[in-house]
Amino acid sequence: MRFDSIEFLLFLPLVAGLYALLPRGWRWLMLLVASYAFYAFWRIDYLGLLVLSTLIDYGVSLRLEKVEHPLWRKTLMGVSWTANLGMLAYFKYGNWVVENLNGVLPPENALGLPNILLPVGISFYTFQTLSYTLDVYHRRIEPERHLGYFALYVTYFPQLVAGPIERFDRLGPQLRRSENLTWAGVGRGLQLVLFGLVLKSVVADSLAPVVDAFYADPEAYGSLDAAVALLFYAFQIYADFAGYSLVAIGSALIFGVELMNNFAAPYQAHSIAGFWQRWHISLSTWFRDYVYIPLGGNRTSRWIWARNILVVFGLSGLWHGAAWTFLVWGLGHGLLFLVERRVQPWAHRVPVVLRWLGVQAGVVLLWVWFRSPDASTAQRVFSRLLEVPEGLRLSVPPMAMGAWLGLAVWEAWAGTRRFDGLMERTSVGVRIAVYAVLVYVLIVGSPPGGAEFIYFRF
Amino acid sequence: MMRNILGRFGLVLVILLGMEGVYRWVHYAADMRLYAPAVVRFDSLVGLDGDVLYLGESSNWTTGPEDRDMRSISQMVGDALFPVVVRDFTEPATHGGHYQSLLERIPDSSGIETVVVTLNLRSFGPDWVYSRLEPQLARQFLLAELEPRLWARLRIGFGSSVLDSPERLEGLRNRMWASAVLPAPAPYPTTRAWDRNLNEVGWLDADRVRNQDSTELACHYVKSYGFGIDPARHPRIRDFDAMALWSKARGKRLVFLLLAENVRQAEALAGPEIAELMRANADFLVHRYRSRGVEVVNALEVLPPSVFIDKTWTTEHYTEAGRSALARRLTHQLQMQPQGASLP
Repeated sequence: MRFDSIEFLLFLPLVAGLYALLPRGWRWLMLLVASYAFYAFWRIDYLGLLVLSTLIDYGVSLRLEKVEHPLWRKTLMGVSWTANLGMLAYFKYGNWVVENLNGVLPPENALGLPNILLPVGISFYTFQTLSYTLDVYHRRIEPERHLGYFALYVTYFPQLVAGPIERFDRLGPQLRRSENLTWAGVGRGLQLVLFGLVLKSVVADSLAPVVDAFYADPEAYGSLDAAVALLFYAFQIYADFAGYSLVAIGSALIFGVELMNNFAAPYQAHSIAGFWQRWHISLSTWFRDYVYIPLGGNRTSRWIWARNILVVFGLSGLWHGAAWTFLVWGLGHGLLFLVERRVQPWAHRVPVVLRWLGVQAGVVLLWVWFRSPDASTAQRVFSRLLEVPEGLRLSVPPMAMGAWLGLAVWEAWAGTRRFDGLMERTSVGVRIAVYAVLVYVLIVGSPPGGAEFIYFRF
Repeated sequence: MMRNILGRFGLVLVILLGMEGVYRWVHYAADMRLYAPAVVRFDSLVGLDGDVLYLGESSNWTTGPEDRDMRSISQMVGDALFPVVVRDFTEPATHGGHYQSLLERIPDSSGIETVVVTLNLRSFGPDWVYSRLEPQLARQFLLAELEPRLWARLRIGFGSSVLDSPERLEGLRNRMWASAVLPAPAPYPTTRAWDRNLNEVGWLDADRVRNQDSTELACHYVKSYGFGIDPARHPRIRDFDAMALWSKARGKRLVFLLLAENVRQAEALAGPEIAELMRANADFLVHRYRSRGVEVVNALEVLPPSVFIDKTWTTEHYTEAGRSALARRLTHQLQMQPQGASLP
């Protein structure tokens, strides 16, 4: 089920109503059933993967608690990793591996392309369960003995299909508490749901057609068009994913569950490191805790550290999708990060505005690799950028321009402050007026047949 | 507590009503032009002077590469019936569901006395009923018809509703092909089984060599016309039945033009059973609607294969000769005086 659907607008109050009516001890069951239903709305047959992943990690974690021998513990971790990463590898990277093998194999030995449909959210829930088993393995947390609560942790519908990727020590206890609904919680949750939907359905979906038109045929456009498309895409993907995350955070808040913030004004960052502390925070911190630090982090030689950085950013790129373009995008960020560290001793002498410009230009240019379906498209986009500027050929509807400007102004003004926090400081009258305007904008400003959330593909 | 809750709901209601008013006053007309252009075009069309309204899909105006006369079927009819004014509303991929909605939009003040509606046999098949083009057309009617208007706008904006999911439609179509039991004389219980078998055996040319293009076309015929019509549940039957009722209630003359299909080619490629099934379904429709007081022009087999433009796909796109043959038949029907009615 998509958040920007009539079904979800009916589903959320229904689940909240049932939750409020049920005794505390039964709420987990209702939420679990609702979460499975939420997922099954997309495809019921892939629900089995979710259940399988849940059962394997539940079983492994309980055994890990009892087993002391390091070899056995590693074997158990191997089972979890093989199962989870095996599923991820098969469904996400199967087609890509075969395509690349076919590129080097003689045509007569070419392998048939498996027709695999990527299960929605597999990258997110796989990383969530991996973090759980790793935390149990390192004895950072106690395993959850209640299968129901553990299953709810894996499938919790607000963050099931596109995060934020939550750690068990944060989400698990909150799910167990099954807090009562409160006016304040419901109010704050609805504010975030509303604001998130505006970001996704109005801003991102208004920008999408302009970007899509450019990427469909870059040769038909000039450098000015390329610049507009690049800037629009930077805001489209931000509005799309940050909007989704806010709906997820808001939906959970209605049930008294605080999910982690996934974005904090990333386009205000004036360093690459800063950008990654503000963009998709739940994934960045996952890679930091479960890849970067185990590899040695920065407590190693300069070369090993640089390798660690590139490994983390490369993996982060590949996490997004099975394509060389994602790898280039990830490694590009890794290289920028290394360069930034190299010039750090004298970088502070450069005015902040120039640093910000340099960093954001790098980020926006790297989005080209992220958005392009293949390397050839990316090269064609870059070649457009180098042309002598002519008039704008792209058709930019006023709505798209308004959406872009609106988000830019909002980012500049609000910074890292969240919408619900800002609303708290205003009078009731202002709040009601803002909500009414946002609801109206959401309804009237959503283009028909809105695009799917970009991160659903990952 | 209860007063507090009621007060909040009351406030929300007042705000929503205010929004509905603002939307109707400020944005609705612009949204209709943007997102429901076909309906807007229809509304302006029926506001014009006219005696006959022709509702059809791309069969009306598609022309062949060799055509010299590029007139559509409705234009040919209009010219033949001069001075009767024939207006046409042609929109690709439309079907009975849309026509029925459009008829309801004809105001009492309209001068239109006769409505011609194309009865496209293929539009009764799952491939068209669950077409991926359906959401785009359905959205137009949703915005035009659903009240309150703000709710209609929300429905079309939030694109993943059941109505708007092409994947879901594709799934429903595949399920129909796989599970709907075909009536006699179909040689297989389901369309899927028939299609698979035909594909496995293949279409063999004179040298007994499999011809892939012909095999694929034969399969298209089976998937396009291999269906039964359950009058109790078929959505198109519901639509055409409603049109018949509309005609009676409004006292308008209604003519269904059962479009020509390439039955001969279907028979040659996919076997006599498919042709028999096409005839049986067409006969069913003709009898059903004649018995309901609708005039039906049965043109199912009146055209030779040479006038069908598309050679690798099943369509009702005709060359100049095909269009003019259909126009002649329709003109003849319209010139006949129905009970108590007359063309001006």
